[in-house]
Amino acid sequence: MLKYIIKRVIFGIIILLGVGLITYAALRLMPTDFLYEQYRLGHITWETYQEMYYGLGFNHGVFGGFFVWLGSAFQGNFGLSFFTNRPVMEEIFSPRMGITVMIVIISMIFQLAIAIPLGITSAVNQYSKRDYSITFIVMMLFSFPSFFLAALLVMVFAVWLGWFPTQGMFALGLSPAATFFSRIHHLILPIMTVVLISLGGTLRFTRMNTLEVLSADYIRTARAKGCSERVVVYKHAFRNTLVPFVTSMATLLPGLFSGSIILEQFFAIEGLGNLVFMATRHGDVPLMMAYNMFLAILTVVSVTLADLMYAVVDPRIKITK
Amino acid sequence: MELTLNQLNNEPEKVEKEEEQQDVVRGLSPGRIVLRRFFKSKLTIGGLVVLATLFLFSFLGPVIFNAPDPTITQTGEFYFQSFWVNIEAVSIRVFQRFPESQYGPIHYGNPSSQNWFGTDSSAFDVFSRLMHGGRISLTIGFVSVFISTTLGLILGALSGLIGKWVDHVIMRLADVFSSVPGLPLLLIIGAALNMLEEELGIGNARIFILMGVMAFLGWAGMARLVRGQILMLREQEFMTAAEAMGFSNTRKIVKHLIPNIMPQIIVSMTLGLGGAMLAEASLSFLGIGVLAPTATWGTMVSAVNSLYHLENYPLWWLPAGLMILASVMSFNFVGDGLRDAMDPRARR
Repeated sequence: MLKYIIKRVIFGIIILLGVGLITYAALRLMPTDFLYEQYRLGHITWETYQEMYYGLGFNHGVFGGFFVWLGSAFQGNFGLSFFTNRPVMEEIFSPRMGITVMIVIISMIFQLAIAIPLGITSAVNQYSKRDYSITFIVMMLFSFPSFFLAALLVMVFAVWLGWFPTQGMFALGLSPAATFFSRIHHLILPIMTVVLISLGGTLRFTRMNTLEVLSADYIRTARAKGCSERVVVYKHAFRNTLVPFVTSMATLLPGLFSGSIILEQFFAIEGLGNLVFMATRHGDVPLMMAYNMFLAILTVVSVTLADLMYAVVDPRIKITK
Repeated sequence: MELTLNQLNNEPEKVEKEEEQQDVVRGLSPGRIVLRRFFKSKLTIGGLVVLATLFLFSFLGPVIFNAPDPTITQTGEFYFQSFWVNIEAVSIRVFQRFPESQYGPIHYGNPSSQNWFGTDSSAFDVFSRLMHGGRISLTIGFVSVFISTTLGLILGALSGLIGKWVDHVIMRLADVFSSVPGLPLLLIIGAALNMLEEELGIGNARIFILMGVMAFLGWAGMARLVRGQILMLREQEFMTAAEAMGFSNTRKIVKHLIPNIMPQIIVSMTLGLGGAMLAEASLSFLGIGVLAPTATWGTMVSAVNSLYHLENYPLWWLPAGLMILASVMSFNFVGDGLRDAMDPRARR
């Protein structure tokens, strides 16, 4: 087990290095005059310019530059954002991050709460009318461009029905308590969009897994023992679908973060996605580098943890090698 | 086990199995059986019909309705032309209007007999944009799917056939590429292309570069699929038999491995087309894919970036969005139908 964990960690580090190199190479495609522009406009001093220029390894080629960046990153120095002139880490781990994480987590909870029961009924009543309609809706949600769904929801719920505001974060000039509720009010449509967009995949996955588990021998045994259908489905079947579920959730999380770039743009939410979009527009190498590494670490850590969890959740799985 | 569409619209399994056996008894060739199964699913046929309609609409539509590309000409009323001007060594794209009528261009035009869906803020006819946009939107997916499939096929085959350290290296590479955050990286490259536009002057060829990059990032899934299939097939009896008969490696690969992997590849290509279309639409929506005056369905939906347009001119973005939705859905239905038809093992 320990050997396996060490092996996975080493693979994880290799993957992170690879992702970092690819991102850095892409960023170096951008014209690097942006930094000089910042100095020329008087946003940064000559010393800062020099420090940044060499700190980001702009004087080296792509490979050399990447390792220079890596070296300063290991010392905890991710540089100043070209765009806001503040330390990159302060920019990323800021209230903006809180907003994005909040949207991601809340929509994840709602999505699971909707997808799991629907997926199970769909599988239990296979070939029924309900199953057909659920499957069709899943396929449709699967095929929606997220921004188009967002536009439709705004059209219906904000413009026609007027239930929710169309854009923004909160209404101005309210008491703190009212501002809080105004925030929630503003976040309902974005969260609804995220839930609907990611619902399809989870539902489809739940249905598939439940069907597979339901055909297992121990389910027949449970029925033969005379267990009620409720017990069979929720105690014997559902618990066994949880194992593949853990992995599927792990791969979902990073996707939700990059998806937030499009939706925060549309709903004018000042979250991490919006920041990243602005940063790319301004050729902000340090910020994009840090953000992409953050996403890559999120991916690698959650996938590795999920694989390890596999063994914890299901004692039947033995880790070899 | 996969969710299959035949479950949706076929009679229960038993009847199906009997029919299948009848097909075999009747002596139909495997190809015919696949075709029969494929056309039995109503949703698959629906998908095909929708796709055919959309393709006809985009490619024949402009000819039938006599609607030339509105970014070049504006039907009847106006004549648009874009060209590059060099001012102090910097190329700038200039749009010039040549008025053909005294009334001037119709910006924000209402739907009329001449402009069925009205005209947009640049006085372009929305209906012609819809048709011309489809030409790019529907075909761009093929580019990236073709590249990523070729890459994935070659690397996956190398990995599965040679094994040993080659397998290790390729699979670790696949791990790296599947962990690269796709959208942020495309954003970076798109932004870089925007900034370098003056030097490169590639115009709308940029979308091909972006789709190429996407394919370059997306081969990992296909490589894993091909590798897994090869590893599985190698253990099958017919491969042992081929070995025993002393067939050459080329013959084993060409005659025995490839035909057995083909169905999986075709299915995942079809399903990939929908994903590639969505990616193109997202990039164009964010303003880094196909750039503004050129019509694609993605750029048309990006009208919703302005709340005023979203509220008051649904005709500008709603039909384009629905067309993206319809075509992605159809690609998915056809892909699922193909899987059901070609891979009886995947069915249930």
